[in-house]
Amino acid sequence: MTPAWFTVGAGARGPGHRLSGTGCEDAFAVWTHGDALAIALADGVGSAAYGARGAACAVAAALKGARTEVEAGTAEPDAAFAAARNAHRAVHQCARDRDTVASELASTLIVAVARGDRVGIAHIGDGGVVGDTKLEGLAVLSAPFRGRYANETTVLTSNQWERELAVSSHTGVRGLCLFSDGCQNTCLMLGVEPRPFAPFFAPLFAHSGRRLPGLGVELHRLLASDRFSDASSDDKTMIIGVLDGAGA
Amino acid sequence: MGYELVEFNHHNMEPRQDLLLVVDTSSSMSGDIDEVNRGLQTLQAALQEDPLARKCVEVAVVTFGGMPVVRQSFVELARFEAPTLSTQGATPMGAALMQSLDLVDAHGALLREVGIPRRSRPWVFLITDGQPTDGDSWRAARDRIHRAERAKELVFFAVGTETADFSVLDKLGPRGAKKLRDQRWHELFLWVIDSMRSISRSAIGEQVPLLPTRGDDGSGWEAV
Repeated sequence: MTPAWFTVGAGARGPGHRLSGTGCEDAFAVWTHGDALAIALADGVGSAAYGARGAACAVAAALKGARTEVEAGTAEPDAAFAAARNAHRAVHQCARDRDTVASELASTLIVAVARGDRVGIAHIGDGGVVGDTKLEGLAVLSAPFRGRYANETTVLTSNQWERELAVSSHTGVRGLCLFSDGCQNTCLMLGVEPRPFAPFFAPLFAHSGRRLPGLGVELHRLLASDRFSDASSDDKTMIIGVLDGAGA
Repeated sequence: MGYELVEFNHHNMEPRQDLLLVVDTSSSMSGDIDEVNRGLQTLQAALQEDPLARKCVEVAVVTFGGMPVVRQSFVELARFEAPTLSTQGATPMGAALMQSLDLVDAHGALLREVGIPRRSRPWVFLITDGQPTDGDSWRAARDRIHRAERAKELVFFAVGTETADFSVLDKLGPRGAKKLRDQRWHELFLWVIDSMRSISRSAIGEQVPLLPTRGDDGSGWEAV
């Protein structure tokens, strides 16, 4: 059986944004082709005037860049980096088109590129990636940036974005979960070294791997549920990828 | 049998907003202490009812009447019980402020250790009707407050009644002191409550402007 990636993703507006009447400022995009996978997730910065627009622009450009690199046979971490660079350029172009400064379209960005069980990740800002790996089981593949204050995060539009971008490479990955910062309090144990909260991820990967119809609706229901809202007032987005036929 | 099987890490990891009340409980505050106690109870009730504030605001109370006392270390609002304060003795304001700043630093270290970020800078809120009686120790506190403000590590407020020594209070923090109008303690506590609500509702990264402390129509708690 040829391995193939299956994905499910959803986003939900947080109760903080429901109260203030603003929309969900997370954006995500996914592309799969057989054993090739690209996922982009961005969280628009609340203080930026067009944070949601910047996030949407970033994920569209990142996905386009990732797909081009994967099809050209670029190594996964290099492809993820190139996708982030494409997103950085696109957001700056979007700012020029709108006659505004790029910081008004500020967002975080996570790009994951996979070919089979090899994964490259480019990540700037908070949110994170947890993997289900053959070697370690559940593992944090890319940890949230943590500043002194919650409003301190690194962003794609920064002039220092290349220095602040964390690029990593992983092998033996049979499951991936990208999540925005609204999810990270409930799914991680955030100590000095963040670790996945296993009772969260084990059933999440197991159920996603069933490839059932309506999983996206079900995931949205989870993210919008009262118990998730109780845990964080922020928007919540989660994209899960499961590699079928990767072996145990 | 689906995503409902997912279990959450239930530790409250919501970014925190610290509120430290530094309350003068010296003998001269005897006429005001009941109002202050009512204000603390109002603060507890109002913020515990607020679904966002109760998860992110942590409150601590330091008093100085005879000696500085940590009446309540930082605690999540959901578990905060307003202490009933009484008055006695002199006004060791300098020592109380130094102890308060230690408390803020220690809480910051604890939050960092467990990986909880702060929502915005801790608030240190001084309430007094008098002047320091512990010599020049207020000067060391003043220097530390100004350093911490410059480093954006806290926001300091000093509020004095009509009888307070504003020649000292004005120097403690970079934004000077405010004078309480006509013993409007209730309005003062409502302002603190609304400020905490605003911060807990703010988007991450949003600069939350201070709420007005007085209105043209005579409302508010600050004396002109």
